[in-house]
Amino acid sequence: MVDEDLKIEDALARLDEISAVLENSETGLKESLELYSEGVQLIQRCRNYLCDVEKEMITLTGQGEA
Amino acid sequence: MMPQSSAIYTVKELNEKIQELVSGEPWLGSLGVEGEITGLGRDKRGHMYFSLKDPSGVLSAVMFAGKQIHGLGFEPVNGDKVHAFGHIDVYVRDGKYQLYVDRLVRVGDGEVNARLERLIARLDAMGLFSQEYKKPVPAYPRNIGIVTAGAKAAISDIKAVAKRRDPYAQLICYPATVQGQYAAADISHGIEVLDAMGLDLIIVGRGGGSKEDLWAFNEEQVAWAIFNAETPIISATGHEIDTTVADMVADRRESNPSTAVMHALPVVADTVAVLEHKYEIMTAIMENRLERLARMLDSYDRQIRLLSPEGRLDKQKEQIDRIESDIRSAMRARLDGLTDRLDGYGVRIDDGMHRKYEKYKNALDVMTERIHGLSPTAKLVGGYGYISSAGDAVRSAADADCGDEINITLHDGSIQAVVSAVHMEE
Repeated sequence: MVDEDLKIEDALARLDEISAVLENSETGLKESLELYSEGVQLIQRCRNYLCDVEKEMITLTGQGEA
Repeated sequence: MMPQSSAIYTVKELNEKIQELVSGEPWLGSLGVEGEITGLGRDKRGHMYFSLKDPSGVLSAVMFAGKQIHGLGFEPVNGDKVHAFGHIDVYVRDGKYQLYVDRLVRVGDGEVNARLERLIARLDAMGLFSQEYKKPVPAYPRNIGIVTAGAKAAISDIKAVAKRRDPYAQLICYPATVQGQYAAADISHGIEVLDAMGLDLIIVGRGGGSKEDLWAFNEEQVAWAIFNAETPIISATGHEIDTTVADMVADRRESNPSTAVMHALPVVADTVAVLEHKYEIMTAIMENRLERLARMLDSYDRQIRLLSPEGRLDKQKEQIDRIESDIRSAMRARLDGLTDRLDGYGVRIDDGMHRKYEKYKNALDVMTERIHGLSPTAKLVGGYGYISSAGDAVRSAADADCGDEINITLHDGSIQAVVSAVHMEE
């Protein structure tokens, strides 16, 4: 369930990078489409990562229990 | 005489007998002793040897390194008044009974501040407060462990703050005994338990309370638990003025657990909005790009079609069609103009002609009348005739002689006659 490899701050930085490359008119169409697709997937992953299910606080009871 | 019953034992045998006796007393197996620490020393394995004394006596005590992990929540020094819990046993080799301490609790505050200063200096020298060991606190934690006072109000406040900011973040709470003698050991244990769970962040603190309750966060045990944890730790010990040792060791410091959660946990809706904004930017760039490409393709397509033979024919045909249509419409416009003009003329011609016709007709009638009046025959109608002789008009009686043949022309014929007499008027 949890996207272990994902870090939101890294994802945000990557999205900015993608936008910058997309904005560059030198970037080829194929590359642009691939980057765009990567960006959309990354956003989806972030959303899933951030908002999967609402959680209730877990309270550990007694020493040694985890 | 020596009494027969007196058996001879070796020292070891006797000491073992006494050990048996002591072991046979259940109450010696678990007890607590109050006293002041004296003669404190440690060996190289970390075992702690000391004596407990009170005004009337002294008791040897030992606390093994293994027991210190959970049973020692402070840095003991000589002079500390303590409660030592454990059991009494005999050290056979030395013939000496002593207290084997499982848990040591400080009960007198003695020279509290001096001790704290010493502790801080010592921990500082070991680098526990050093910036280089501070772990970065994650910007978007998903799992947050909290070691805090079990007070319901404090926990429900933390819960509420977290729910408001990010209901998707998982909080795991270890309700520790924050106040009292066993606090340091319990807090340290909580940190270790949560650290072992591999969370993103641990918050260690308490919601409020008196300054004395803060003491646990000044204990060395807690400092080491924080320092040794793999997980980034925020301390939140409730007093902004009084910095605790825990605050100094922790990776970040907040005033209380609720504030810590508030600062550590971004509002998830904001994060999602940021993501959506980035999506919009990216999509706008792409759409723009594709639209430009589509326009370029259209223009290339048109150019290609125009340049192809078929395109050229089409173009010529189009030109011809256009010229033809131009001509047609020009012609039509002219014809329409002419027709209009003709229609106008028609009306005018009709009117003019009619008037002229009438005029001419009248004139003609008048002239006909007049002409009719001038005609010789017209005059002959009322019994008049035209008399001629040998082609000449007989204008006077003198022009005729008896016997002359004369011709009398009437309006409808002529009469041949011979003159029989001539009478002249006087």
